[in-house]
Amino acid sequence: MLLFLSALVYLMLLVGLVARSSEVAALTIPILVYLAAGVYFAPGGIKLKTSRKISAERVSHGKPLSVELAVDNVGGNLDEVFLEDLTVPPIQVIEGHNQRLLRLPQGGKLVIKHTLKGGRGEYRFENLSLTANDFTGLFVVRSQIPAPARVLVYPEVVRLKHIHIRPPQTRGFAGPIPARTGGSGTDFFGIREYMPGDSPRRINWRISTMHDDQLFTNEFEQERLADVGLILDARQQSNVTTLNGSIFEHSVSATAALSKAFLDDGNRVSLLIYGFALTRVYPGYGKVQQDKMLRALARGKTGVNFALENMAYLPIRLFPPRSQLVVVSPLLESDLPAFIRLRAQGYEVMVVSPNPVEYEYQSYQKSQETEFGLRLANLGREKQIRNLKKVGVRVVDWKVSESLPKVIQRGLGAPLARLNLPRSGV
Amino acid sequence: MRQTELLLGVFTLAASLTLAAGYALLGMPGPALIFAGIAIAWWAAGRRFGNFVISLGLLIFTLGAVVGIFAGLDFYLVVISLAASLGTWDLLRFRHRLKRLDANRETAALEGLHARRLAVVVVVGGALSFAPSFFEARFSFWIVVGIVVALLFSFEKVLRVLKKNRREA
Repeated sequence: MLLFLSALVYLMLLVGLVARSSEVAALTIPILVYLAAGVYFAPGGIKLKTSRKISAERVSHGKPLSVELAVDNVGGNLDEVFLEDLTVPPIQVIEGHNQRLLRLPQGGKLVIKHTLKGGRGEYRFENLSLTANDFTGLFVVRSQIPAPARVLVYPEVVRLKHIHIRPPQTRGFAGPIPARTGGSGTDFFGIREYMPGDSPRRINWRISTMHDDQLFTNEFEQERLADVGLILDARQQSNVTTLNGSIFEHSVSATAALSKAFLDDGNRVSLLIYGFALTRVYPGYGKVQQDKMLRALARGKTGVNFALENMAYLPIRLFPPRSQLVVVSPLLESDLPAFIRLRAQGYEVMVVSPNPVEYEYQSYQKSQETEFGLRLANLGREKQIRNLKKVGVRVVDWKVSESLPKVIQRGLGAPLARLNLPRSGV
Repeated sequence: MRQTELLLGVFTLAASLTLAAGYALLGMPGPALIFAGIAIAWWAAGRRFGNFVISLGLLIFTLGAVVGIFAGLDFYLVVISLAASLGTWDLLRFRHRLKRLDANRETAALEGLHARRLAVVVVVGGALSFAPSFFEARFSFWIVVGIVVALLFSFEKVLRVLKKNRREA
């Protein structure tokens, strides 16, 4: 604009000189006065102090977040200044404005308040973008004022009912998991010979009367805590992205819900995010562990790493031997050998698999071709799940349009003995 | 935004009417109608298009003013038209900047300040344009030399400012 006005002035003066017309030359005077006013009011040195307050550094999914950004002008007058608190999509402003256009005099103060809402993720607020100009808009100064902050939006955690698991090995503390060894408990486990110290109440009189000089005692199955390892598949290869979002988000929310369910039962739970890198949350108990896991899940991203392109490269030694593993993955065909290896090593494996076929199908227009494609893809997936079940992996095929608690209750809610699945160990 | 819209309407009307009246007084109704039409198009295009179209309007009105001088238009009408079209150009750009935000108390204050400063600049600029004719100044050899030297000097300054702005951007 400055160039345009200057060119106009030079052109008119040139025409005036060539034509020896003082009137044409005089026509440049309003423009020259305008330019001079622009120079006079041009923004000088910009010195702003900023401080940012955020209502919480960590928020649950769907909860709004209020941001208050205080700006203090310790430099010269700013006649027209456009301030924008840069937000990173997919976080959105739902109340207030993160942009302001105003006059900020020397010593002036300003507070920008707005409320944000966003999906799961880690959001970093870096800078306040500033564009200052004089009233003519000819002399523009752009700057970035640092106002750093960081917010974690946790994934959605749905409440699940008790999930029945029976890992071959349990920990030494009392808990809800049948430990496959006799001792004190509630479920009948077996009968053994009476030993001094056994409670007379536990003597099985029916069996004892069948034998001379021998007493038998009822044994109950011990109930202990278990080690549960959650593995979240964050490989880009297994992720399906459509216009409506990505199936990985469903995997993350399922992992969050499972971690809560297992931790609420008192188990020791760990997490491994298997994708671009290996993100690990070491085994632990209780609410602190839940918070650590949610933080890791909030930061979780899909990525490609050729060293981790296959589940066969899963660093299984990170999990206690013969423990319960829960893999949350849309599954790839090449993953089967890895699950066979896990079962062979004595792990109890459970797979919660968001159905990628159904998910992708939802984004297509319904036609004969897509219906046919769906049938073919479903056949492949059914075969894949059948193969996994054959090697003793419990699989929950989750069509993400259905509610997770219902699907989990249907697939994993019943005690294992009634599921008629092959048991490992013992 | 209402204040800016109102002022924009006044400036656009003044720019078009004065130039159209000047040409009409010379017995040239064609250019008069053309400039009236261009003013409406300029005002409307400023809502949708960016700086290029806005600046095109000012260029057309400046050309109209220069041609009008040579055609013998009343100098006072030409100066008023040029000053008003400069104001229109400025307000269209200002409206463009305001469009990014919803109207509030701060933008209303900004509009008021902008309107006052622009009014002063346009009135002072217009009034100063009459000064040479008031003093009956004519180009003499030394005035021409002075203007050329000033032109060369300012040209170098403008280039320096532009380079600095580009570096900062």
